Amino acid sequence: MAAMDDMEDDADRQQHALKRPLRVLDIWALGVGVVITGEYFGWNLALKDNGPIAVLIASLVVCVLYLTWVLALSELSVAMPFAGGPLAYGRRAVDPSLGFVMGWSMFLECQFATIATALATGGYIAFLLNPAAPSPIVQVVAALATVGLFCALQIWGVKEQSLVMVVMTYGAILGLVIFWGLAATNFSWDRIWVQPLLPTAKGWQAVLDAIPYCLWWLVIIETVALAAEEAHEPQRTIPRGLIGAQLTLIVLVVLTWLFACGAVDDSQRLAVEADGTEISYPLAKVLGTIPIGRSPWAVYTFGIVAIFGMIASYHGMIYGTSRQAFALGRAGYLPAFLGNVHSSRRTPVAALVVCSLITAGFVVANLWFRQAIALAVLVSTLTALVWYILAIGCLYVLRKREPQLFGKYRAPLERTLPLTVLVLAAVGIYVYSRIDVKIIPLTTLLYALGLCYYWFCAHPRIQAEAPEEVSARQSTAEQVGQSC
Amino acid sequence: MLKPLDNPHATNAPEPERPAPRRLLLEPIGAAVLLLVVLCLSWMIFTAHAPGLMRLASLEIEVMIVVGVLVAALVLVSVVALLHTRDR
Repeated sequence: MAAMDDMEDDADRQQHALKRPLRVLDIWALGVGVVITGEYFGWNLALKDNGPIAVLIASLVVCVLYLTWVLALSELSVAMPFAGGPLAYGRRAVDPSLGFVMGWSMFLECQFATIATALATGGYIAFLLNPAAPSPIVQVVAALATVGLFCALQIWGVKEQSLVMVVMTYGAILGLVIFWGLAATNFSWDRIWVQPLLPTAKGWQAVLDAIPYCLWWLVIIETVALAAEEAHEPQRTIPRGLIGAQLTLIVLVVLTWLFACGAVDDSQRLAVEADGTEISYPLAKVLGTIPIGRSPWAVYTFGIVAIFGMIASYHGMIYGTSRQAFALGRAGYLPAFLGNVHSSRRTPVAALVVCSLITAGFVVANLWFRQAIALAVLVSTLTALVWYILAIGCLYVLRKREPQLFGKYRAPLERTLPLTVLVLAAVGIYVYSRIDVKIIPLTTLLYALGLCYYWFCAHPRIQAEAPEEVSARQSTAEQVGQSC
Repeated sequence: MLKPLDNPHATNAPEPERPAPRRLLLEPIGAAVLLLVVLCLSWMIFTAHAPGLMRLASLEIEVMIVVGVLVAALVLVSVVALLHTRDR
């Protein structure tokens, strides 16, 4: 009878298990590919009223934050290589409530990043079809097509989509190289080193105001941590892949900022149109402004390759969103059907379909709500900062309570690194209170909805067999054993 | 004669990590520069609220110092992280 129970348990675990095919190059491609959309749009909104030097300093602050964050995250994700990364960290360090808050934060971060990227992909396609007056209808239809196509591709299989991700990431980098080359034809240092360097009215406040939008350069790279459950030898592949991806991205950030701001006379025009509409295709806008952009082949060559960048990121983001929904569903924190995987392909079909439907709903809503992209960017970055701070708290707790957990990989600069992440992320949250778009009430509402579901529906139904729960119970058992 | 697998001194446990000498030198410098980044950011927030206090000779010098500290932090942390990965 016990043997039969064991067999049933094994079958159940098998039903919720993912494959482990990802290696260093796959992790690098996932890290670069998922974030590269940040180079194509979103960051440009930071230029509004702040200027290029403020954006450069804010971008460097963000690069330091993310470099230290990915190293600290590698330590956590190697110690607990589960698809529900933040859920597992919070669950093991404190209790299921913190696990849920962290998992929900990352779900919101990924979901809103996915929405913004789908819309911006549609924006680039609409610009390509009619550079003079991009149609909002074409933007929405193109965004919906992207959502449908990549939902199907992700359902197809993780190894197959990882190969596609590598190819698209190379395409996205090529798109940026083409942009740098074209923008360089109209580059001038005088447009970068403007006088005064920071706006007189704002001074150093301009740098702080730029930070929330500059976070978009690199936000969501932590999706890679969710791949630890699908990574071959995660203690080796995750740190190497993440560090490589982060360094590649820092180079891309600096060069894209430099050539975009150095090629146009007024960098403000990359943030908003003359009528006040926010721009979701800044690099295409740069090319449309400079003399070489009058050549259709230049605009179309860049535009077509740029779409690779957008869809590479969309592809990685829907991966992160669906894996987080899958992990929360598998552990019982969200409806259980989200935790099922396809019987032969081992991909989380239900989670993919639900996340894609939510994205499609917001894409359609963009027809009536024109600030959708800025809103999605800011909600995504704010929820990201919330869980970075909580994750560093978990790292401190677990290092002290269970040092053996980090035997396979320990980040360098052991004490200063988490402290830096903590301070920079806290500063990031502080500056949200000063920006134009008031997203704090919306974000608070999203957390309230999640917590209500957790307390009234999910709390009694947490699945004891989920890997995150098994890991947390092992921790508790070890502590009880030690105290006895 | 003992075969390698029978050697009682042989073990499958991983060797304890020994940082390379270069890393031993770079780690404290990297940590110090990260603390400087935190100080710079605190100064920025202070200056944003009280623009007339704690200022250097010119805005250009302030910008160059802040950018220098941030770039130094990025370079040092990257080098330390890469050496750390290679040591393993």
